[in-house]
Amino acid sequence: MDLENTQSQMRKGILEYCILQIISQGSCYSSDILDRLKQAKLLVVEGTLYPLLTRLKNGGLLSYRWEESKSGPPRKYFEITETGAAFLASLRSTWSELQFAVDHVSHIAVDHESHSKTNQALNHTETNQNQPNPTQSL
Amino acid sequence: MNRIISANINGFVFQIDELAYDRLKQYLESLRLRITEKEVYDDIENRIAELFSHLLNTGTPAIFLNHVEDVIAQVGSAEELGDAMDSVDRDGAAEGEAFASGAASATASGHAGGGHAKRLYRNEDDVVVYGVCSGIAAYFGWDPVFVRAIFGVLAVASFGTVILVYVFLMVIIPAASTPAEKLQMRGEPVNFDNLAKVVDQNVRSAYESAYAKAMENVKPRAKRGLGKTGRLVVKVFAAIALVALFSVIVPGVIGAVLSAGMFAFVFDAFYDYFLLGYTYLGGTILAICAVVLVPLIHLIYGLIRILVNGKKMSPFLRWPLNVAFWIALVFLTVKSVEVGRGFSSSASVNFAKTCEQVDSAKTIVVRTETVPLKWDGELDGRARQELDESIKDIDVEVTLNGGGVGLIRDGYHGEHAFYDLMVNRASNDVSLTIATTLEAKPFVTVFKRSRGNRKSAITYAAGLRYDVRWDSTTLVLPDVLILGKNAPWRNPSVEVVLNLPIGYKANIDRSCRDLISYVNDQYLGLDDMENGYARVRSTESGVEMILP
Repeated sequence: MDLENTQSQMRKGILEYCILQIISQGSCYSSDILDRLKQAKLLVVEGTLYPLLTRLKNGGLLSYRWEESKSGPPRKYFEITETGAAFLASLRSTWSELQFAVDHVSHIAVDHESHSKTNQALNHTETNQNQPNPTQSL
Repeated sequence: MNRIISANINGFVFQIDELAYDRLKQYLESLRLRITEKEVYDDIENRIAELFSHLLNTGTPAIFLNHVEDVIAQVGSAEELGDAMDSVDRDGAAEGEAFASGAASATASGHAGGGHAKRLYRNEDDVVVYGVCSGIAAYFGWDPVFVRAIFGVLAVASFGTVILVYVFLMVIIPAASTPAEKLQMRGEPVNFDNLAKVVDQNVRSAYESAYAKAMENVKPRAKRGLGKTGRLVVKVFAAIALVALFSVIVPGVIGAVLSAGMFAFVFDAFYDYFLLGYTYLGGTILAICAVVLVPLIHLIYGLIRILVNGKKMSPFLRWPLNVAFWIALVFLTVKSVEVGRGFSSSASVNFAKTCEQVDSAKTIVVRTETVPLKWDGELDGRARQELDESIKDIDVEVTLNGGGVGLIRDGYHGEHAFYDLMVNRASNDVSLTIATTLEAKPFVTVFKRSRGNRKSAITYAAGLRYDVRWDSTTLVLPDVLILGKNAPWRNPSVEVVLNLPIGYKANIDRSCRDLISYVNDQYLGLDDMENGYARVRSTESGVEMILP
């Protein structure tokens, strides 16, 4: 098993959710989204974002408009649609469930085994965005 | 030194270093291959433009290679993005969404795991002429050298017809220009790993050829100056010229080669006669071929290049051709100068023969005898044997004073065709003059003349074989002279002077009509006679014609 691969798979899984989250807070263009995602270390290379954005847009969850920029090429500003908002809402509840499930599993793991590096890494990656780290809170 | 060029991404214009441009172009191409959704590709391009604009706004004068590398690292290599696309593609398919269907794209077909159809392409990465042979080799998985060798052999065996086939194939077979096509050419599956390999190779070779490209960039600019219409006109003219060339020159060359084969013995004789250096014959023919064909090949190649915007001729072909051309030219020049100098001097050798038996009538008869020549229809077996013998025995010493060796045959007045003379190394430049002498007995003086260079002229003159003889009171003259052994034709001639003491008469036979026409400005009329003699006599005031 390749650690990096597993990590990137996990990141990918929640990327769409995070993108919707960011855009739901107000219209923004790709650079803003990239900045936030990179801050959160959810993104390794920027190019990954664009297929996701297009996919969400094609799915009717996002809409966009072009805006001229004084300093460079025109920018694509994204906004969340009503469908997108509803989609996001159900994703949020799914995320809560997942979070709970993961926490639960992790507690069991911590109870029965010593702290494995894998566990640490996984937990850290998954949770550092919005939630306090459950393993640290023990 | 690198140039800074202007580039444009989705309308955003910026200055970029040449090397950086090449790298960026390779990168974008690899992305395009990997990203089936145009919108996604455009977004990424736009992002790159944005990053560049940020760099330029913060004081960078132009985009350089390190900037491009940074941006690639930031945005992600084709491989990294490809994985992302992959997962999105699969998700899309699973959910039945209209995303990245990409049925038409080579990339998608590769992923579908479908049959990777082999296709015939020209291989522009391994080119001698236009990559047809190496394309065929790639298709069948053979060694390109092997295919080229077969093509070469066929080209010779078919007298060049196969070259037409090559041109035809060259026009109809497309070049493998994209990495996907290059893979299809070899029948390798078009999947990401293979594409990445090809793109990687492309990037590497792009760096290596950065300089060459910079040089070539100068040319398209001149082309651009012509405009679309101009280029079209040039192409049409090139096409017409090509068709004309092939309809005239190719049959011409084929005809020349065929007739050269058929008339090899003519060239052989010609060479022996004028140049005398049999060993050089093959070399001369090759040299003439090279001098004619090399410019022709360059012309045809250039025209084809105009038509299909082809590459420059591969140096593996260009250099041998050009070297062959110059060697051939030097060879022919040296040989020509040598022949030319062979005419720079002239020499004359003479000998005399006196008529010992003179009757009271004091009348001399002059007639010619036909020297039997090879290829002469009248030649019988014995005469031919004699001739072969005589040519074999030709020797300067013998020629100077010796008598006939059976070379001369009684017969008709021979009119030899040039070819007969050439094959027999003979010349019919023989003339007869009649003069008055104070000697008691008639005698004949023979002047043998030839040109040559300062050393050889005298040898050539002395070597000329021309045996006159007295048959009682009849002077018998051969109708042709024969070149000495190992002597080339250097404008040889023989002048026979018959010296008649005063009071003597001469009957000049009709057979001498090619040797003499006038005596003292009096027309002898030999050409008009059917038989008989023209009569002359020697007086104190010179030789005069006895009117019938």
